[in-house]
Amino acid sequence: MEVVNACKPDLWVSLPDEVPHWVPEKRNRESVDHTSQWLDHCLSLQHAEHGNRCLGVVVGAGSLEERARSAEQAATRNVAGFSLAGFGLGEDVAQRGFHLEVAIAKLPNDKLRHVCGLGSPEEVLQAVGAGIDLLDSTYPYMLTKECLAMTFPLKMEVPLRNADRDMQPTPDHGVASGFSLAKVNLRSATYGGGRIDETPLVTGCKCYTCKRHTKVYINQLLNSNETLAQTLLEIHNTYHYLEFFKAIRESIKADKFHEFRTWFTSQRQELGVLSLGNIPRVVSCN
Amino acid sequence: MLGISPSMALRFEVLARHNRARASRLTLPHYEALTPLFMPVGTQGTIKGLTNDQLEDLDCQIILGNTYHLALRPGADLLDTIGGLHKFMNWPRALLTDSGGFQMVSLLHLADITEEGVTFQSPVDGKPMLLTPEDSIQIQNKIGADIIMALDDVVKTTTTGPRVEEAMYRTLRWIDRCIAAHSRPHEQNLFGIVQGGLDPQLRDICLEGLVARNLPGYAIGGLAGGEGKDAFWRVVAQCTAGLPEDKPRYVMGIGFPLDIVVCTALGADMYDCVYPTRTARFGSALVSEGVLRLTHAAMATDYRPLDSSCTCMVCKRYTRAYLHTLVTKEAMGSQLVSYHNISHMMQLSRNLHSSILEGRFPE
Repeated sequence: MEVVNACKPDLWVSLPDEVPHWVPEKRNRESVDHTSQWLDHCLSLQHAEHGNRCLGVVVGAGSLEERARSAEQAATRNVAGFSLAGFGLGEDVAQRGFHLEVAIAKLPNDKLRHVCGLGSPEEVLQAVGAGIDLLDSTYPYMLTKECLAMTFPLKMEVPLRNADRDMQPTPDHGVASGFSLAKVNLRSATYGGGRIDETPLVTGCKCYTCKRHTKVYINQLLNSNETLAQTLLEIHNTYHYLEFFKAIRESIKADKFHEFRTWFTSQRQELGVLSLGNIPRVVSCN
Repeated sequence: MLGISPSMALRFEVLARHNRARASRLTLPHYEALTPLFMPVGTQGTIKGLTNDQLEDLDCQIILGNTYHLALRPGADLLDTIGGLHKFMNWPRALLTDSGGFQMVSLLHLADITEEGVTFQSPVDGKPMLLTPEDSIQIQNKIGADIIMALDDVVKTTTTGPRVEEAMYRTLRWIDRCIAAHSRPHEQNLFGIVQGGLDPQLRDICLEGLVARNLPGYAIGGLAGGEGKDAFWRVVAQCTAGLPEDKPRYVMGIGFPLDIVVCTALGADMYDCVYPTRTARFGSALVSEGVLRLTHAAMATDYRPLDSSCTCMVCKRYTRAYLHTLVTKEAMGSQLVSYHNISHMMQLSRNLHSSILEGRFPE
């Protein structure tokens, strides 16, 4: 709390006693109890003048019962919202769904719900579908690190599939033909040796990088180990990811979230992208 | 196109003088620059971590590309297909490329100079290769910069003996080959480079020879390599005195602010050096009082901006303490300090230009 009070963040997460899912029941129960106690302790140490900015953590590991109990306890505290812990650790997708549901059912409607550890588009959609408001993730950065650009389509209304396949050139290294719609591998040898791709990362994208630069230029920067490559890629990936969230918000406002989610996941499956679990990997970076 | 004689693609107007110093307007195909001017070095199509918008915000007018690196990657033919380096990088202002010779000699293990050109081992597959004056100009024609440099035979200033003379005469023979090979004289300006080491007689011969070729501009080369300051300034003074008044003069490899001020006083107009960006990557910031070592422990609790008289984005938003945590550890540290250091050099350029224009250069 010394650090929290010194940093004065807009929101902070209380210190949980988080445990992995394989611990014995007794230890898991302890973790729920400790987490509540520590939440109270943190709250007692927060500086009053900084206001109510605490996100109380909800744990529960592998037990739905404990998850519900943890959420019930946190719900009674005077916090700004809740942070659901223990996700994004390779758990089964269906299980994750149950845990999110069971926890959120116990939480008040008028307070923030945050989850950490989830970041791929499918995970985001699942979390939002369950009632989550805030996510933090390194997903865009993970792509940047692998020299991949985020390119998945964001607009349901535009019939993208066949038209886009014609628009975007497919690299000739024998990958599933629809791959270019999900991610572009910028280290591909094609850019130097074969076809020169002077299109932006995503045609029509309004980010700084796509308005000014081409794939072949970014490829050059990557191959020359220039830090500008990461800067430009990260700008695009972050922008594209935030546009994804914007599309989600708009679909919710138009009462079409379910439709959006179905459309998104089915077109990803059609493209052969692994949509479950951690970061989808279609092409390995050579 | 621009220019007086058919082999020029620039216009150079001296707007004001103070003794030998000049404030001028250099109009190039892609941009109208004001000199005295510092030109940052962009090596492989970018200036370490900075975006084009940032370079424009910093008032960079001409930036350098290294022909050797660009020819290796992405390659001259790719650049040619795309339509030149300007288009490839999407840089709307001016570019200058060097000949590639200097880089080869300094970077490559087995580089050697013969009458034909620079022989070296290909860094890709070890095969023996040759860069002739014709090759250098052809590659630079494909890259498409506003100013291109002749391939010269450059020796270290610490070299003595007949090698210096040999290099000077070869430079003169090579300039004719460069001129003959230059296929775009109306769009790209070929600058000759004055060599001759520290020997005034050799320098004179070279000056005469190059001036007789009536080139659009001239560079003073072979300096900034370990010679003493007195010798350095003497050579610059001699060269500026021997070069035509109405053409731009470029002292290559100069980046220390003091050197730039002195060379300006002696009548030079353009400068380039990796120093400001390189020293940024090691955590050093150029400030009005000198050089600030951000890695120093005292910086950890210094909450002032880098330079209190600097108005750049970095000085407006960040403290020395914050930068101290970033430098040499995070890429952003390099970028921010590079940004500031370039701002410092461009402010110096502006100060030189306006002080000469307004008659207060001595201050």
